[in-house]
Amino acid sequence: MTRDTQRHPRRFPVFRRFAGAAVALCLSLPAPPAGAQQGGFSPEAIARVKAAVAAREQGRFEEAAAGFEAVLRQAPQLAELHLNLGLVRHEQGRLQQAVESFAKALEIKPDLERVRGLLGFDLLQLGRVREAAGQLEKAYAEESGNEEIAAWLGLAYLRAGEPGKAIPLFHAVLEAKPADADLLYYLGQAHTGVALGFQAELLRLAPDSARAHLAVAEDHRLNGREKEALAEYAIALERDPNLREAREAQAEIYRGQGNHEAAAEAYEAALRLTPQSSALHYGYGDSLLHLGQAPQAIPHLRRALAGEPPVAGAHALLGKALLDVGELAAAERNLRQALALEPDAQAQMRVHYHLARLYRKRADSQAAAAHLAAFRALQEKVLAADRK
Amino acid sequence: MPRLGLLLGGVLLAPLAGRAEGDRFPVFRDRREPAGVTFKHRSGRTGDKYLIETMGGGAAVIDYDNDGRLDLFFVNGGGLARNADGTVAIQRSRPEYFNRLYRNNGDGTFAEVAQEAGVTGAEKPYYGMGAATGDYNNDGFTDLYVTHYGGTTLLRNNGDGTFADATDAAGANVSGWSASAGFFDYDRDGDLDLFVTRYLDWSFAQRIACGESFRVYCTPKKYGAAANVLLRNNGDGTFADVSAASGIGAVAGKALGVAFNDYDGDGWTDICVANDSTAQFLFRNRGDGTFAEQALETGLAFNEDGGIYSGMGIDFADYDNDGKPDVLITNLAKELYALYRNDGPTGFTYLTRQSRLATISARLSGWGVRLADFDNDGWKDLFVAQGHVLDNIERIDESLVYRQPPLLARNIGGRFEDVSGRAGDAFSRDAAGRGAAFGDLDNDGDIDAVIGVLDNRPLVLYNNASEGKNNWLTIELVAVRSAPAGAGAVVSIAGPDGAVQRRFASTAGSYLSASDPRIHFGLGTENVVETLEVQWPSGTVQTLRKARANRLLTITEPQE
Repeated sequence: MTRDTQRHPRRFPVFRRFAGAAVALCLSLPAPPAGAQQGGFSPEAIARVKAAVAAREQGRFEEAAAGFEAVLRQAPQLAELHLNLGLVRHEQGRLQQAVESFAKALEIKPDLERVRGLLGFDLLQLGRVREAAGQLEKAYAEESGNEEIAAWLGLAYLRAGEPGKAIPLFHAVLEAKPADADLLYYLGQAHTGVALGFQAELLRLAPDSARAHLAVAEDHRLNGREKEALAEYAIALERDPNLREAREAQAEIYRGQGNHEAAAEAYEAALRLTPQSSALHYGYGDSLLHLGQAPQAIPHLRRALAGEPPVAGAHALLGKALLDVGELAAAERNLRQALALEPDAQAQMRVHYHLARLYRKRADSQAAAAHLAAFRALQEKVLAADRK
Repeated sequence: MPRLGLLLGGVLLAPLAGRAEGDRFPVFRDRREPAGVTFKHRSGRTGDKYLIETMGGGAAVIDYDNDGRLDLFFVNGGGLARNADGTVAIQRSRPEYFNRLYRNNGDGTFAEVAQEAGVTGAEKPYYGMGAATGDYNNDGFTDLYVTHYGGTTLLRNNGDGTFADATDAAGANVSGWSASAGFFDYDRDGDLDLFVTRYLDWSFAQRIACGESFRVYCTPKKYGAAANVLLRNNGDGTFADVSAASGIGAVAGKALGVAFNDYDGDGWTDICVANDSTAQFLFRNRGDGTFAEQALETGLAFNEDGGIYSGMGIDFADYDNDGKPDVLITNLAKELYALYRNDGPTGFTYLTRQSRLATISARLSGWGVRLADFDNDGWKDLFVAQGHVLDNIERIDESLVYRQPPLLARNIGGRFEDVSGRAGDAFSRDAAGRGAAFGDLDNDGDIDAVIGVLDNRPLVLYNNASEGKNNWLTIELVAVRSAPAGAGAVVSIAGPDGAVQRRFASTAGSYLSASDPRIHFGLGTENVVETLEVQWPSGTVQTLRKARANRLLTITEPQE
C-alpha cells in the first residue's frame, strides 16, 4: 500500500501535538444524526465514510477525500463530514481547501469542538493573520488551557503586528515548556516588536530628540550598520552631550573596529559621565594599550579590576601592559592570576605566550620554554578544533 | 671581529633626527608613462578564483648592463585557459603575458628590451611570480632568477645585453609554487647561494571552491604547507640542493617573503621568512652549513598575543638605529603590520602598538615593503605596497577595500607617522599593489620605488628628497674575496656625535622583488661621515674616515 501524498510538513513543534489532536477528532467520527436516512445518508454511505476514514489513516488521502466528497453530495449539511474532509486537505497541505471545509463545518455547527483551532492554524499558514487571530481567539476561549492554541494565537498576534498581545500567551506556554527553542525565539521577537513599537512612538512624538537618534542608532548597530549607527550617535550627542549610552556605544564600536584613537576619545568622554564604570575603564585601557600608551593604560586597567570581582581578561590585559613598561613582577602576578581564572583555551594560550615573553625578558629560558610548550599544546588543540 | 660600536665607545643610540631638515617630507612623482614603462601585468583572472591569480606582481631593479643605472624588470602572470579535459593551461607565449625588461636610458626614460634580452619567459608555461638578482657566477654581470607556479628560471647574464636560460645546467630549478627568492652567501665562501621560498602545496586540480553566496579566493589554510629550498653555489656555475642537509627543508611553512641579515651579530647571515597563516620563520645560521629555526624561541613566530597572521612581505633592517636588525612583516587588514625590535640576547619584542603601526595599519593590507631612509634624515622610514588579497573584499567587509594606495610612514625616533597624504599623488591612487623594489633610479641620492600592480601598470615613483637640505651617501661595494656586491657585508657609519647607522648588503626582502644592491645612507644635515666601517663577509673590517656626503662612494674590498 502506498501513500499518495506526503503529509504536510510543519515546523513549529507545538503544532505537531496539535495535529495529534486532529487525528483523534477524525477517529471519533460521530454516528450519523437521526433522520440521516431520510436525507439520503444510507448504510452504504456510512460504510463509505468508514472506508474514507481508513484511507486517511493509511495515508491514501485522495481516496479518503473522494469518499468524503461523495457522501457530502448526499448529506451536505453534515458538519463532521466537512471537518473530516478538511482534515484530509490539511494533511495534504491543501490549506485553502482545508480552510473552506473547516469554515463550512463551523457554519453548519458553530459549536463543533476543536475545529476553530485547526481553521485558525491553517489561516495562519496561508498568511491570513487577522482571520487566523479571530478564529484562534475563539478557539482559545473555548479551550483556555490548550497550550497549542495559545502558542498559535501568540504567533498570529505577532504576525499581525500586535506583539504586546502575544507576550502573555507565549509566557503562559513557556511555563509548561521552559526549554522550547521556538517559543523562546518568538517571545524574543515579541519583546523586540514591543520595543520597536515604543521606539516608533518615540520617533513620532519627538523625532529629532537625542533619544530618538539614540534609538535609531541602536537599531543600526543591532543590524550591523556601524557606519550609520555612528552617524546617529553623533547626532544624538549633538542634541545631548551627556547621553551616556551614546558615548559608550561609540567607544565600543570604535574599539571593535580597531579604530583605537577614536575609541580612546569616546571612552574618555564616556568616563567623564560614568567615572566608576569598570567596563569603561577596561575598554579605555585596552584602547590606550593598542595605541602604544601602556603607562596611561595601566591605571585604567587597575580601576577596571578594582570595581569588579576578578576577571581573567582584565588581569591578562593589565599583565600585558605591565610587561610593556617593564614591571615584570607585577606583570607576572597578573598574568598568573589570569591563567588561574581563565577557563577558555584560546585565552589561556595567549596568557602562556605573554608569560613566555616575560621570562624571555628576564633571560629565564627554562621558564620561557615551559610556557611556550604550554602555548604550543593549547595552540594545537585550538587549531585542531578549528580544522574540525 | 671589531665592531663599530666598540670603536666608538658603544655610543649607538643618539638619534640623527634632530639634525635633519624639519617636518618636510619628500614627494614622490609617478613617472611611469612619460618614461616609457608600458608594461601591464596580467593575472589571467578567471571566475574560478585560482589562488595564483591574486598573488603575483613581482618587480626588480637591476643594472643588467653595468652602465651604473638601475633598469627595471617586471614579472608577468600568465593567461589561464581551461582545456576540454578540465585541466588548466598556462599561456605565456603571447606578448601580453611576457615579462618586461626596461633599460634605463639615464634621461628619465626607459627602453623596452625584454625580447632582445631573452627574458620574456615565453618559452615555459609557468605562471610568473617574482624575481631575485645577483651575480651568481661571479662574472661581473648581475643575473636574474624568476619564480613561478610550475618551476623557476635562472637567467644568466651574458654580459652583452642578453640572458641565457641556465636553469637546468645550473641545477637551479625549484618545482611547485615558488614566491620570493634571494641570493646571499650563507657559507661565506665568496659566491652567491640561493634561497627560494615556496608558498603552498597547490594545484589547479585541487578545485577547492570557497565562498558561500559568491566565490572568493580560498584562504591558504585550505592548502598544505611547502618547504623552502636552499641551493648552495658550487662555485662552478652550478648549485646543489642542500635544503635537507642544512635543515631549511625540515620545516614546512607557507612562505611568501624572505630577507637576510645577521640578527645575532655572529658574522653569519641569518634568514627570516614571512609565512602566510602559519608561524613566521627565523633560520639562525649556525656557521657550519646548517640552520636552526628559532622564531618561536626568539619571539618572532607570532604576534604579541601568540596569534598567527598572514605574513607576506618582509624587511630585516635596523629601524631604530640601535645597531641590531629588526624585522617588519606585512600582512592583511586587521592583522596589523608586525614590527619586531631586536633586543639582542633576549630575542625580539613585538612593537607594532608602541611604534604606532597598529593605528596606521589597522585597515591596510601590505605586500612589498622596505625600511629605508626615504627623507635622508638618518632614520629608516617605511614604504609599503598595498591592496587586499580578495578582489571582492568590499562584499565581505564594507570597512575594507581591495585597491589601496601605497603607504609612506616617517620614522620619528622609532615611532611612525603616516605621511602618505603629503608624499605625492601616487599615495592617493588606489591600486592592487604587490611586489615593490627600491633603489636610486636616477642616481640623485634618494631612494625611489617601483611597485608591481596586479592587472595594471606598475607605479614608478621618483623621490625628490635629494632636492631638500638633507645629505646622503650611497655606497657601492666591490667585493674581491666576498660574494658579489658585498652581499652579507655590514656597513656602519657614525656622525660626529657618534650616532650610528647600520646597513646590511642585500638585494632581497620585500615581496617577490629585488632591490638596489647599493647601500644608501641619509645623513640629515651632516655633510661628512666621520667614520665608515665595512665588515666584509670574508672577515675583513675596513674603516674609512671623513667621507664626504652627497656622492656615490665605491669601496673595494681589500685583497687581504
